[in-house]
Amino acid sequence: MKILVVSLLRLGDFIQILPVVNGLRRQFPGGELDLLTFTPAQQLAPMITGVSKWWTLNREDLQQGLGNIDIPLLTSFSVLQEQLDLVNAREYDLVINLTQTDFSAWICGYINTPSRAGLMRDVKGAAQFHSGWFQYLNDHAALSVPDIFHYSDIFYFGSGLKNGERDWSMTESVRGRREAAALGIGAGEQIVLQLLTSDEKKNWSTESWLQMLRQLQVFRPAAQFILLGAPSEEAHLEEVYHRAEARGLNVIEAILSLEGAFSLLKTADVLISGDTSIKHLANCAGTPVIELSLGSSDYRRTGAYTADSLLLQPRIACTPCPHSSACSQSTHKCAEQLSPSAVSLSVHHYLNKDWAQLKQLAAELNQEVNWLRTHITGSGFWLAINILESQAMRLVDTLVERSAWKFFLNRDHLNSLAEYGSEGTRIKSEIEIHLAAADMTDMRQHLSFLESRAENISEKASALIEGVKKRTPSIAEIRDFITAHQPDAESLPWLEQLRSQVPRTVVEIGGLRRVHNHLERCRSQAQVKTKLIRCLKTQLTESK
Amino acid sequence: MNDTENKLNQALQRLQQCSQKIVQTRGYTMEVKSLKILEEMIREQMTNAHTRPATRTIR
Repeated sequence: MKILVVSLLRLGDFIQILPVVNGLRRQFPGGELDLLTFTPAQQLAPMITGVSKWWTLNREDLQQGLGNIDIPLLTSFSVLQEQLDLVNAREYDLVINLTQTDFSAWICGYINTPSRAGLMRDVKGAAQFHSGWFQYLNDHAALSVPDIFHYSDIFYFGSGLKNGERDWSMTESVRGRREAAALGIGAGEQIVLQLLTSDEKKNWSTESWLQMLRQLQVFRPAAQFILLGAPSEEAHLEEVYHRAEARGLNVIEAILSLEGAFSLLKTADVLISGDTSIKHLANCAGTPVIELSLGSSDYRRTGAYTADSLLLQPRIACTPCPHSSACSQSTHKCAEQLSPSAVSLSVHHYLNKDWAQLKQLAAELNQEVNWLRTHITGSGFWLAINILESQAMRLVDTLVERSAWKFFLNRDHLNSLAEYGSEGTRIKSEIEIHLAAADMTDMRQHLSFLESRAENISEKASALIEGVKKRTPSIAEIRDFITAHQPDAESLPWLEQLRSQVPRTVVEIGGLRRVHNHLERCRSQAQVKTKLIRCLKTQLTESK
Repeated sequence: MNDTENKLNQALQRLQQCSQKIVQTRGYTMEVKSLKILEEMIREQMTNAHTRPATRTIR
């Protein structure tokens, strides 16, 4: 069995697919697993074992070739085509695209293979997803969606890996160990700080870092503070190091390769970082993370995956902001709102494992910052839960919604012996962990409300489906129904087409089919949710 | 728009016309797939982003 996993994004995105790589190796022990990435990801090759062949595309060279008018336009393309022809010669049995971009879709569509997963352009140029999970990813790409699975979970389930623990492991390299050892860090508490991200909007100011450090060193005088950076960040780190020294702060400067950074993180007690690839590397090292979620960071999609990590997100209306746009504010408001004292106290209480104090801090500064604790649910997906637990019913909504989606996207609901009971048990366990006993009565009432709402959606969807089948659809009613119950439907192009053609006297067959399929999905999801809620209510009643 | 971007834009338009003509005359062939890859490479180069917004809805 030859499998090709494609990840044509950046370093952090690639690290997030590691559980898929490790999971596929486990599922196909005799198979050959290859990777196709951009060149920078190959820096991790010494730490990722079990890969038969690692193809790389040099994106910078390809784009420079296109952007230079002295180089024939087709030069870059010829280089790319030669590489893809070599890939095709491997004759893969399965290609999995873990990149949601048009470029990767065309690349993967070019590769001949009998089985596919992920976004690909087919022979007619149409986008095909080959899995409900990747369709879900496509439909939930907009920032405004109220909830979304972590990308790592989407990739894992979308690749056909259902259960089992997520394996983020990497192998420490000799070179990495040597680099970390050369720093001469002694025994004792190690706090690693990753100061820079790849995007100015996601950075916390240097002054904020220094003030936080000064406070933290008072709280934790025995700790060692390590400023971590890549060789490309050396100039910035030098400047920060000297500024820290001038203030009497005792810090260690660590300019390391990825291998060295991984070895360093393996012995660290915590990493404090913005949204960076180093944060994901910490997952692989098993190091907890305190993440400063600023700018375009969307913790819901790419938050620190390690369980019981802490995410700090300023409460600003514009967060998260679009990835490629400049900051819309006159000053960097989200970074300014995250005060050095909030971070230093958070780190101090976190390292003391004092969640009670963290809750108190969160309560005091609730208007400015969200404090979230990461958690891996029994159902196998990641959540970030507000440590104040002030919105218990919202958590119940999320747990039920996510489980229903997982059931639906894994197509478990098509199995006549689907494990609604087991999933209900898992949800119940989560509720008992996170909700106080006092909330349980409210919670049962809330579940009845959710059940009733799901039943209504299912009945309404059925009525609309009948209208579609009889070629007498009420477009306005369908539009209103889908918009109300699937907020992400705003992005669906056919819904826009329906809107623009009013009044409609002739309904195209293709459009009808899409409407019908979408309504069927709504109905199936509502039915799954109803069954899950009923199982959950039964189990809660039995446990009283 | 600078000179390079102008030339890329013109090249992109010519490629799009080419691929449309091939589709009309011979259907969706490997040549069309190749042209589409090239179009996408040029589009990304023109926005000059490190990458276009990583995850976005594909239509």
